[in-house]
Amino acid sequence: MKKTRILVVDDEPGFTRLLKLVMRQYDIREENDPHRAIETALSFRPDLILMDVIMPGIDGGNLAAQCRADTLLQRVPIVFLTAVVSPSEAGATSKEIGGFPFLAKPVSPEALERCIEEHLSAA
Amino acid sequence: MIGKSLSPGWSDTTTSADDEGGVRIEQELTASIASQDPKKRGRFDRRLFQRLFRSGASFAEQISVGCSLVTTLIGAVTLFGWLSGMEALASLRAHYIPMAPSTALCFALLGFAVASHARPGWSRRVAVLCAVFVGFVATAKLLEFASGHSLGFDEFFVAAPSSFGLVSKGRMAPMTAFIFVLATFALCCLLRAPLRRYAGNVATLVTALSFIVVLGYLHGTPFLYGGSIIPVALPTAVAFFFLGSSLIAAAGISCWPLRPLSGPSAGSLLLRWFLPVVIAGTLITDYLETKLLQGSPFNPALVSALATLTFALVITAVISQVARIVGGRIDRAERARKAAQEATKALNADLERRILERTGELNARNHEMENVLADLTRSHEELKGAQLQLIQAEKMQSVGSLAAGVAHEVKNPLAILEMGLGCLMNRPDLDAESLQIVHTEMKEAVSRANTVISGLLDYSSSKELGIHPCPLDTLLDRALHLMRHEFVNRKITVVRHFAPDLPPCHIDAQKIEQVFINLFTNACHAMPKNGTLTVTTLARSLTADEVHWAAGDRSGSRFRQSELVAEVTVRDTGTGIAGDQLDKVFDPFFTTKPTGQGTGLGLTVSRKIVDLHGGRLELANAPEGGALATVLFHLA
Repeated sequence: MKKTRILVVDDEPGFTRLLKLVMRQYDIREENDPHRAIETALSFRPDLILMDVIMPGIDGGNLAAQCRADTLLQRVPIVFLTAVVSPSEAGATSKEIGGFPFLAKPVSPEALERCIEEHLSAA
Repeated sequence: MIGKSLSPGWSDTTTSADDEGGVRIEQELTASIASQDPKKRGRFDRRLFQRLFRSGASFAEQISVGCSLVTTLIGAVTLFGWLSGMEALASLRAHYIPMAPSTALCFALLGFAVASHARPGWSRRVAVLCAVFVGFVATAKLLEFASGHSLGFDEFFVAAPSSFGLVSKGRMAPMTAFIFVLATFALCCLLRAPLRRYAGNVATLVTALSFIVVLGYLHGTPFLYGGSIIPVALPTAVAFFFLGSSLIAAAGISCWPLRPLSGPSAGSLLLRWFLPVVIAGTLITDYLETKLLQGSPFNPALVSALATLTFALVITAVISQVARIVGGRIDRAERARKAAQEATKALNADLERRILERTGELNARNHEMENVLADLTRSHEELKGAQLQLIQAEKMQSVGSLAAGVAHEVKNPLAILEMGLGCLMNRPDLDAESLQIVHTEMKEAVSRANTVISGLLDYSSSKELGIHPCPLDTLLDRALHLMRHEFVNRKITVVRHFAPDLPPCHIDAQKIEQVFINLFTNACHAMPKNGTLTVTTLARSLTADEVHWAAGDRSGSRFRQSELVAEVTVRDTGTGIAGDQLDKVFDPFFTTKPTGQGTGLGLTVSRKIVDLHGGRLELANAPEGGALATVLFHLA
């Protein structure tokens, strides 16, 4: 069975590397350079994109808008990961930023997996 | 004050002592008298008398000249009488002894001398010569009388004199010679400025002596005009009277005896009235008594009583007149004073009323001002409150932004740690290599979080400085030494341009070392492959442009124009700083470095540390490329 493809766009290599190690059930692609995120997404064709919000040069909101503007990517669910919102502010997974769900860092692998599954099924 | 009030018409008297005063007054009087009706003439006569003494020195001079000319005239007439054989011209009356020709010559000369002594040039010199001659003759005559030997002066004029009783005619009397000596001395006093004040006294003596002689003639008392020795002739006494008067007038109103008589004061006014009246009254009474008692058919006591009564009546009349005049003036002055007092009272009352009005207005204004002040104070308090609220809000905002930065920088390592824990707990099947990765990442995350927290602590706790004098070159060398591995790894060449005579700076060496390590680290990150790091120190004076900084820059205000500062520049050959990022590089958590390499606190903390030293840290792009950091310190 083909693994679910997850693209992780985050400028923290340590985070993406460990995420890849801990979530082996998915086919994880790391992208630490946000400027190359769309290109990577177009070639990788992910089922879901995990995206950091604050990154050098470009923010996650911009990238998400670009994805939504792309015909190939516009249906791919995007989940934001952000370090500037506290877990209490984020609540569970129900809150959204600009129509996109988000998770507050630090996030446990279990919570992350639940979130991914939820949005994959919704899609 | 009383003199002024007594004589309102005299107010201009003492001030107008001009040379033409006498002439002007005379013209005025002549014109006035001609134009006035006879009733007013009496008043003008009185005023003429007053004006004689108030017209100043010029009028006294005229009197002096007039009297001296009369003296000269008497002398000249007498000489003419002797020369023409008309002896009566020299004696006034046939049975009186005539004036000696030598005496007449002396009068002619001395009268001329007094008339011309005040004129400049040759007149004055001739006057001196005349005075000397007369003085010499008079002294010689006195010596003749003292020694009994004739010097032949009188004999020059009258060789064989006829006799007048026991004495010879045509000879100068010793009394005459003595009075000539006095008169000559008085003239000499007039000629010598320091002695001038004595001239009046001596001249008065001359006049008094001549007066005694005249009285002697009036009373027919031989003792007063000679007796057994040569008597003083009546014309001589008259001439001496004029000569003495001319000398008194020449001495002027500034000298005794004219000084107490002149001026507008009540004392001098009364003196001017009473003195002539008393003298004249006494003389007339005396004369009447003497003449009328001799051969009078009336009882001498009755005649004496009548004479005294007449004098008393005259004196009473004069006193009444004076009392009327002076009293009238005093009454007028009193009325004027009362009127002035009333006017002053009215003015004072008006002034008081106005002061009260103005005080009321001022009080009202003060009250208004107090209200305004109270309003202003209240507004000030409200503004202060608002300002405090603003400051508090700003503080909260900065705390908020700081907290957001902290959250981002700490939560990312936390997220890594969370993931690492997840790996360790959920993936027991991880191979050794993966485990190694997990450990490394987790360790790095812990280190990063620690760095961020340390930086924050530095930022918040850097207020405490241990200031000591420290040579900057030693400190820079130590910082460069600590960074040497970085330089070697990145093939960076370090160039030092240290000023040899830079005085030590008063700094916290440890914290400033941290600043330079931060700057060197930034330079290293800007030059990953190779490059040159140039560190320069310099002592220099600040220019005016460098002292005036933009508003809000608190560091600039600490420097003064022409102040000597220590400057350290750190220049790299990297890519420099993008223009839009230059004003953000000191913001907390702002970084251009790849994630994980910088906390965004290095320059923030560094600037804070330099600010605390009263110094200045700036970052710019060097003209030749790369970034240029400049640090300024005060030189104590």
